[in-house]
Amino acid sequence: MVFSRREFLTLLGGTAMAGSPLWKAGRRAEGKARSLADFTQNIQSGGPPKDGIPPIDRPKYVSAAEAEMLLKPNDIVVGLVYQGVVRAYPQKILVWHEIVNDEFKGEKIAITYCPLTGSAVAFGGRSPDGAMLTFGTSGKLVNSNLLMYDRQTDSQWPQILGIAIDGTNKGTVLEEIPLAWTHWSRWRQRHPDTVVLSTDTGYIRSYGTDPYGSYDKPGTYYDSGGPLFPVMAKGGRFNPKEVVVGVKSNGQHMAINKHTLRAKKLINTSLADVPLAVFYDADLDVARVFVRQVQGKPAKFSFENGRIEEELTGSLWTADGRSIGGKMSGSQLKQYASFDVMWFAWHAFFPATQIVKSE
Amino acid sequence: MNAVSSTIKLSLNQLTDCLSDRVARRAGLWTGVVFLLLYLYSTGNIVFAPGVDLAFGRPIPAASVVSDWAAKMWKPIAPFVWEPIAALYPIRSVALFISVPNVLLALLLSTLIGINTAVATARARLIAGAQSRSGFLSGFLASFPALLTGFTCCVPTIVLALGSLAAVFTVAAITITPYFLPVAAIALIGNFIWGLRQFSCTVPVAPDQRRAHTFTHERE
Repeated sequence: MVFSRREFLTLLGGTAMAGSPLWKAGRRAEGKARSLADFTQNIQSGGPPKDGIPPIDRPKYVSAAEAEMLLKPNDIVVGLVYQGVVRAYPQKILVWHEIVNDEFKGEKIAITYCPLTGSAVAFGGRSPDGAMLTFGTSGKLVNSNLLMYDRQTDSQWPQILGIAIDGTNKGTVLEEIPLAWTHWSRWRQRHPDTVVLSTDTGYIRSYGTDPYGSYDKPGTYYDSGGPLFPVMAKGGRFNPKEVVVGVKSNGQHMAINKHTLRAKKLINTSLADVPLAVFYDADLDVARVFVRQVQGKPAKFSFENGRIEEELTGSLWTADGRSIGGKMSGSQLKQYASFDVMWFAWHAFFPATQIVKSE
Repeated sequence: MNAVSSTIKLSLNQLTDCLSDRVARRAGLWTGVVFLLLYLYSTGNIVFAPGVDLAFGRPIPAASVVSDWAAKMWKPIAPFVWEPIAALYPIRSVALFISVPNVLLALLLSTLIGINTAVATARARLIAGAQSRSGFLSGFLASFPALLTGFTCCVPTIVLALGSLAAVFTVAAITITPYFLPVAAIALIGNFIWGLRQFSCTVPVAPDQRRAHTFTHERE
């Protein structure tokens, strides 16, 4: 784990209280703050009944070699490295289940995916008081986004928000765990030892097809048109289906256009007074967000000649936040959870979001 | 009670008369079969995906059954759509998912549609003009809502088919979709009873609507 649970909750907005505004307008912010009640008033039926989209509760895995039967090189997988265990979750399976209640060396982790908002988020399966949580699909949506429920208290949690909006756990913030939304070929090359979620899910679905279209072919739901369901705020800076990297810190929110990050490779920024560095991992095509601090001081990173360098110490770094040269060699930056998401959904949840510009 | 049973008996007799027309019988059969296939396709129980190996490399033909099928058999996954418990893969790009309630419902609806079509066809062959066409049209319209009941993953198939034209439309579609199937079933039964009350396949309603020849010589 990159963060301890306490550190994470403090950073993520442990101040979130039911009924009070969850976030304030930040720099370059737009829109107005929202309360949990605003979200409960905007719950909509997605059609299916509770767990009509069935979560996977007993996931099985196959080796990377066996997974070649299922996956093409360009197929999307959600990759997760946790407690030294490396697993990949094919999007073509997740689209039919949306939640995998998994376990990593005894730690409950829920891997969640909402096809309507293009967001994959991994959550620690415990509430801050230590109670174990497993999740199901409510069949409902908020801002076109998956509304999960926990089976222990029946509290409801919008996936992008990561906070219970009603029930016993109302106001509780889930721990988010960094993951990678990437292509199968990229993930396998980086992690040849990975195992892959099997199609033996306990359910029968046409895993070779995607009801929403394709991430490979332009002109489908994933890159065209607007949301299928009403949202609480529309418009904003980008096209509705533009992919942004969403980051949360201390009740504030930031969106980084994925195209911008690909072009710049590295962005020094800050959110809620926390200095952050966003590295572009070109091998996986993912963003990684780190606390921009070296030797207890705010650091400044630069990207030149394919290398990430910290200017104050002259140390060299990899895209996954590990120092490989100079004074800091061997040290590791603290990572923030972030995830790719369609702009319309991020903006609908967090209309006061910052839109990052590099310093 | 006697009145109901005599009405049912009369209706069944009239249905038997209508189904004695071989052409009408065939029209009903084929319409029912086509509807059955379309309905199961709309519920996602027949999958056709050209270029995709739905069996993921297993030898074809392949079959599978979920381990706890008895627990899942009656689990709804959408309004009037239930969990499949078995799958057949006759060829790589085609899969047939077996959901017992879905199959029973599909058989019920396709039988109703087949009967409606057979009666309408028999009528059309005995009487000419607009009345016969309207009878067929009402049978078709009655069956149409049932094809819109399918759910794909987490939204009604109709919403995905039309795309994100208007998010408000999605909410309306989700609100009314659960009613499509009961409306279709009631409309089909109503149309069937109405059709038989309006017309007998043995006695045309008016002498001037009598055709030059009847279909009796085409009976088996």
